[in-house]
Amino acid sequence: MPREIDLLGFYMPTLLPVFILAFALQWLIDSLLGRLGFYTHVWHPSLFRFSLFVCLFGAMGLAFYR
Amino acid sequence: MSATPLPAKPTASTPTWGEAWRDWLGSEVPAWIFVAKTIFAALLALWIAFRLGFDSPRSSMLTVFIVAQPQTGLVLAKSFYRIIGTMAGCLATFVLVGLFAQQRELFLAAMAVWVGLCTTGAALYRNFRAYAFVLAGYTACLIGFPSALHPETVFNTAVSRVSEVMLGILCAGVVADLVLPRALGASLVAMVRGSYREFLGFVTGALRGHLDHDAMERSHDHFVANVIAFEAQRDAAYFESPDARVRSDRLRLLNAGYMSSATSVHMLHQMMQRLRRLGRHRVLDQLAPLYQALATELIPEEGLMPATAAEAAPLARRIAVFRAQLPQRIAAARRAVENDGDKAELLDFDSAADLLLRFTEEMDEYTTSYVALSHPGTRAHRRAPSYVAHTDWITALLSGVRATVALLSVSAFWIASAWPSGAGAATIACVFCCLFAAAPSPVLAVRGLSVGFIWGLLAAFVCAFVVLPPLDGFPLLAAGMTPFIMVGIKLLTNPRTAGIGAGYNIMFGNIIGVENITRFNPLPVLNDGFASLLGAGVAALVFALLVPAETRRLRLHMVRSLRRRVLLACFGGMSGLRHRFENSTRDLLGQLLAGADRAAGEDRRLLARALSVLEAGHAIIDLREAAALGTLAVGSRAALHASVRALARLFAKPTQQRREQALEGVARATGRIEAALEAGEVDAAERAALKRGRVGLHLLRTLLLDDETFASLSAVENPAATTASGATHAA
Repeated sequence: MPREIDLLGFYMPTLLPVFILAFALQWLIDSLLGRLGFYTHVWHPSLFRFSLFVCLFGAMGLAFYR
Repeated sequence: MSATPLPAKPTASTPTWGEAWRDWLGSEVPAWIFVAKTIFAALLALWIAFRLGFDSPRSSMLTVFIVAQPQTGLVLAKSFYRIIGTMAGCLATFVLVGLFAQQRELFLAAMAVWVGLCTTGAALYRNFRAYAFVLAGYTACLIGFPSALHPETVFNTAVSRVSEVMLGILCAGVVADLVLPRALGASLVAMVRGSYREFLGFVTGALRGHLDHDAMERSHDHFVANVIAFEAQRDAAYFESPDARVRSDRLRLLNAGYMSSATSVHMLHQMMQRLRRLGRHRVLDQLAPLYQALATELIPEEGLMPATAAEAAPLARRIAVFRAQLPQRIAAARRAVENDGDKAELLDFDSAADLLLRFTEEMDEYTTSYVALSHPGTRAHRRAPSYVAHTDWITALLSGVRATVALLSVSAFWIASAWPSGAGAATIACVFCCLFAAAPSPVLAVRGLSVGFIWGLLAAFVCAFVVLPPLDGFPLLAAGMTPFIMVGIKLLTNPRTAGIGAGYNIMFGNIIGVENITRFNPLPVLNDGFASLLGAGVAALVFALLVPAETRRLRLHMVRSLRRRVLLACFGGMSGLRHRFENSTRDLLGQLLAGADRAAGEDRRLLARALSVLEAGHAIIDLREAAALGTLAVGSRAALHASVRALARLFAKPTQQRREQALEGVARATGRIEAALEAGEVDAAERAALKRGRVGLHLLRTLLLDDETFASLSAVENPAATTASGATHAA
């Protein structure tokens, strides 16, 4: 996988679309968990959400940079 | 610890040490936590920007200052709109630079038009949505001015600007959400519960006749402010947690229910007042038990108010049962009036009973949507209408023209004097024009920000040329800047000094000039600082001179458009009309009340006018619904439409002659509706609509005959109040 994407002559780091993708995925999971009432059992919901995002982004980023 | 002689009975004048300590804990500790969080986020953004080698790391720090808000939801909402605005501004710059880079006059003119458009948008929208337009306007200046001289760099400038802003937003959002977060959701819940309880108390008080006219007016003033504040919080809480997103529809429904119940309880109250003035005792005697019964259902004597949405569930069931029984009860009471009353009394009874029925329906809806909030996963029980803000195109376009003129005049000065800092001045003028496009008193706001600018410039100067030169490395840089930043953020926490704080932060962040290669040269710092001050000065001048935003004339225009809201009820498209009319009228009233001179009683006159407008508008909508019936004879339908047109003419410009014409039209329409009702060729649903139309006509007739109402609508729009407020602004 290339580390930069050539977008009309502009070199964009691959991590940027990965970031956006991870964000969208996190938003989806977050909405689902919120609808299920999962966050009532979590001590620090925003910390959980942030960690979830770090996990998603980290996993996806590592997959590309391996 | 107790230092007072009477620890058991502390008086208000001498609080005990314990009380003072708790008071300090309650108010100051959250403020200092906010200060610490913001400084941490700003320094974090600055450090990352240095590590990544951004062109101007201070932009990231500045972004943190700008999006800093005490509650997480507000930070995220402001950040979201900041991103959108920045992106739109970038795209606009590409187009403008691509088209006009060779011609500076053309380029600046096109830029001025773009800024004017953005300002118009900022004046049309509310809250953080307006902020996106502000950003779109000034990002274009920020990127466009430097790159117009070197068009080949525009793309790089734009990319680094976007990266810096994004970094600042990420740091601000993550720190706000993770470190000792203060959720907006919590305050939203408190607000929902508080306003429901307050409304319930108000309604039962009104139904039991415990409230006088003053208390009624004060509560209404409060309701209007609540509706607007609630919508702003709901909008921002959307970004905060999935919990708020799931409930967003229901919260909107709740706010709509709140508005319409507040209007119908007021209409009911007005109707009772009028009946009392007319001496319709037989009608009042028959209605009183119904009111008492409803009040008892809402809060039983000595009963407790429901503290949460879940606790309100039994109340919702009681109201639903009462709503189902009410038509029978009304029919029974009507028979008593029918037996020994005349036709006019019967009509009065019908009107009052219809209002009671309508209020019960709305209270039922309101309580149902309140109870629905307690379930985590359910959707709204019916489609939630969106919030309809009152937007005034004339004021918005004027703000746009104002911004265009400000930018053009600064640009002209820039070209004529070949001033190296002209770009900075033009940018600041543009920021101010966009930012305060919709502010009730922009000159005062600009003044506050400018005072902050001066202090920020001084602080930045001291910091950059006295404190920082001997320091080396990022930890020392952070330590050296922290005391200066602290002052600015602390100023933000107090609403009275927030404007000054914002100015201080912007100036300090801009001028301190922490770059990867540090240059200690006071001259450009001073030049930039003075350029910003000049830009602010031009903005203030434009606000004060060019179609002044605070003049009597503009205010009169708004007060007049409050009356003209009725025209929306007369001619607007029928689908969702009731909500649109109600919502936009209340929104406009809220805008007017925000700048009203309370000492001179202007708020009372505005409220009286708005409530008459709401009454008339709802009656007209009833009438139009009756006129839309298919089985109605063509002549009758024409008569109904003619009466609506006569009313529209009256509300467009009230004169004695138009008042008589409107009365005539109402009388003719009443005759037609009665004929249609007697003809007996209508089914039950149509009969109900026709009856409602007749009740509406009766209400309109009473309104038109009432001299007090007519005076409140036609009075030359509050001359005493506006001159008084003009004087305070001038002082």
